[in-house]
Amino acid sequence: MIPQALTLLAADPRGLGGAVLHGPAGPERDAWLEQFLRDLAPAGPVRRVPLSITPDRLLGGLDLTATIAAGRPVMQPGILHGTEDGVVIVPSAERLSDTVIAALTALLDGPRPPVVIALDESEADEPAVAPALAQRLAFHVALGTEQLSLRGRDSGRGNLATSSKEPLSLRGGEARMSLRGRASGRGNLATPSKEPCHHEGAQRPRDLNLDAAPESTPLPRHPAEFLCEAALALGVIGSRADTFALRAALAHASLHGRDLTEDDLVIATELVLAPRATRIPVVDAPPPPPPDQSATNPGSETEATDPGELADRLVEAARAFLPPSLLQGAMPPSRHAAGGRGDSDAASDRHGRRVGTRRGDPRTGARLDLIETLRAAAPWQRARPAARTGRLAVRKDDFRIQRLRRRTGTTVVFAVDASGSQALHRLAETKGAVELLLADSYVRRDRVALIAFRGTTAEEVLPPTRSLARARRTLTALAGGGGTPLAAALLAARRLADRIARERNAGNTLLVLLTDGRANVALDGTGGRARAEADGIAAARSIRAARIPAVLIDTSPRPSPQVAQLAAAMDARLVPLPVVDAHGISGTVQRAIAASR
Amino acid sequence: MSHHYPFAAIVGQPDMKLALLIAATDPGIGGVMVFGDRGTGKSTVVRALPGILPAMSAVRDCRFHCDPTANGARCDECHARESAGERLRSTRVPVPVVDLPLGATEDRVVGALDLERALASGEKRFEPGLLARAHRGFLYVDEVNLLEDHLVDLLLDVAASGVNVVEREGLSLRHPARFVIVGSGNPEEGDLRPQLLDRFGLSVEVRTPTDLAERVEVVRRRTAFDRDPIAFAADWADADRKVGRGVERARKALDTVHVADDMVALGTRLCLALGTDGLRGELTLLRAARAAAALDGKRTVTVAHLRAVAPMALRHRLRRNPLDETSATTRVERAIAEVMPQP
Repeated sequence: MIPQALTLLAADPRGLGGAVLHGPAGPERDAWLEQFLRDLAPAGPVRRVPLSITPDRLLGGLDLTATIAAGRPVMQPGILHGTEDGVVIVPSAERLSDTVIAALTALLDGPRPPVVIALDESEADEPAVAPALAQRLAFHVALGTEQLSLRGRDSGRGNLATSSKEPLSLRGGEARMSLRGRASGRGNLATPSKEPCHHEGAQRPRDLNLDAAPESTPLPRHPAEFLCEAALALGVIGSRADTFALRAALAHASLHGRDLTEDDLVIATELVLAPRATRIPVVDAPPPPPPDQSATNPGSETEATDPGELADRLVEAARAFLPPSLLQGAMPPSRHAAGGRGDSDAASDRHGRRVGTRRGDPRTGARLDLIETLRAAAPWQRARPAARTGRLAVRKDDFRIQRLRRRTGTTVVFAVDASGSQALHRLAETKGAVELLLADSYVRRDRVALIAFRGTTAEEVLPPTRSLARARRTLTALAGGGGTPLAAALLAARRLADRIARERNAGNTLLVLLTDGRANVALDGTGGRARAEADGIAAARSIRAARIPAVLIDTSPRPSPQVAQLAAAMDARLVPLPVVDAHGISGTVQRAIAASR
Repeated sequence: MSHHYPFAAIVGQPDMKLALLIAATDPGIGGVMVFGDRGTGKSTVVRALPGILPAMSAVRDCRFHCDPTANGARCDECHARESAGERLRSTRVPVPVVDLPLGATEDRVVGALDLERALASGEKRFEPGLLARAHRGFLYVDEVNLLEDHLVDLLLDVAASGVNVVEREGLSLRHPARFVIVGSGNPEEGDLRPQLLDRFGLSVEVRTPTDLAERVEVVRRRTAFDRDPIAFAADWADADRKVGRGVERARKALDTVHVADDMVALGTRLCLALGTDGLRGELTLLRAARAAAALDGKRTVTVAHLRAVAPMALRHRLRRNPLDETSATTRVERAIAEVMPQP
């Protein structure tokens, strides 16, 4: 059973670009891919781009070893070469380097692009596939293992069989019922072997006439109008998705061997638009049909469909498929804002300013230092037989590559106590200080992240970002009140610091904890001051163990022993807030950053 | 043939189109920065440019496509060929629009020692980079805000001076590289340092259309284009040619467009009201207004031209208060309303 998105993609590979498959590697994903490749029967080659690929293997280039051996330039083609009309599969797509992303997007923008399947294995709190790539692929499918298998087993199958045989009518409650049935049984259409449309008849999906004019439909308006209306309601950004949705609807219709119906539009909305939603649509009560509607389309049954109702229905359908993070009110962190591109550690050989040379293999994308290479080869020339022919004899050992260094910024992680005790005293002041730091870091290109803790949990409300606009918005929206889960906050900070450390060119992390130290919620979410404080001290020790430089800003009205203990446990510089105003905090953090460099 | 979407068929985004046409008319304007969401047609507009711009004449077999008519600004290779007594012949080439991908290294941008030649034949030869390829055309840098600062610095330096000076790996040379730099980026993903931003001549904001009809039209045209690019391009060829002719006429008329003293005063007042840093704001504003007038087929700059270009010329030069929520565009619009009240 493969998701419907892949079935549609196989039917219209060029119009839909490709898909992001989100989920862990495993037999299920492999089975999907296999089935997809069988359905697609691509005209071009199928290539996998390994994560560790070097630029010369990706784009092609000079084969250095062969060149030197042969004494004339020997070029080697890159892995993307000749993939026109083929398939490019990219595992661990969330960790691709910019070079690979740029190469893939260029390929997708070009004529005769391959189908790109990006396999996204990121965890929930990790950055996802680069938006530049994800944007150009029509489908974003989550493997969601349990859900899918459950859906496959539930009794929705019969429901769908009917719906695929007789296109839904929009009138009356029956349509809404069927829609709900579909929503609960999403996996079913995805069973290609059971789908009558798919293997019946001589038509291979690829032979279908997908380019039939979308105008020839029984719909009252141009199908794009419905899709665009749904896209607007869902806050879908950019126009690519709109086009993809239309292509997906057309592909779905032609797989069923029929003209475009509202069913196809619903599917397209679910598959293409819903995963890109940036807001939860508000569905108003259906407005009374405009009086001229019946006047313009008298009598005809199909045309009696209220266009407004269909658009609402599309939006309604999409609601069931909105990304869960959206429903929690949290925008999925943008990949770049969150940074986190795992790249090979050769990155420092490719970017930045030159600081020296070292022995190394230039094929990893590092810059060959020719002068140093020749200098290294020079003393051996007499000893090397090849040199007697009058040519320069350079061996692999001679290669010197440039060492480059680029400035890495500091990421300042603020853990802000937004609990009730804190809110009373100091939340506004704290916000002021963080805002000042934001303004500073904006000039210095440092990144800022924000963890807020209150109630029972600590939440990373702002992933590391340089975007001032985002940071400011988050800070303004920060609310106060509730208990003080100090330990949870420290562990969240620790996790975030670990994540930052894994990034390429991560630079330093500085933790700035603003709290009054009155922990009263333990790690497991239960109350109780003693346990909460013990947990807090333990978590603070783990910060020290991880060697994360920290500043603790004591926001309690008068100096308290708990805070001093906490500072000692995490080896943090302690600054009492009574003596600092917002500018003072900002100055303290500045000095701490300078010290941590 | 070109599979690019026709310029005239692009729906909406009037600011961006105007800014690019101004830059095409007067390349000295100093580049265009486009801020906005993904998938709003930024790349499409830039890549459509070669379709409307008339082909230019260039020295045949020159790696930098030098201008045959400009004597001073030739590359070293052309000079050498001329000194050797060769008569340089010219050929027509399309205006280059070069993409600078995000992962590009400094080598690829600036150019570097031609390793192939160096290793195989021991010849020291320069392999031109993207800057050379963009000479006399456009250099499109997508996500310029995510590019490393030293690369952005370098790009803007070369764009401003028109010369790429290469001093590395035993190479020492300079070649002309006059291009219009077009940067794009999404401010949600990171800001561009103000000192870099200020060096772009114009800055426009693009948004996902919120108008249903406009959005539908985008999809309709895009689908039609995907279905049959050649027929679609043919349908729009006339419209594209018309835009191209407009740019050609504007280029010729540019020097004759008159800027009256009161318009200069108005521009200065606007900049004063906004408190822009330095004089670059005024200069760009008037220069852009002149190009806008030329595109408009007018001989004199009017208040309407100033009003049309003021947001794109000044928006990115305001002194920023990081805690001020008011968008720069709103501030410019307010100042315009104040200084140049609608009649």
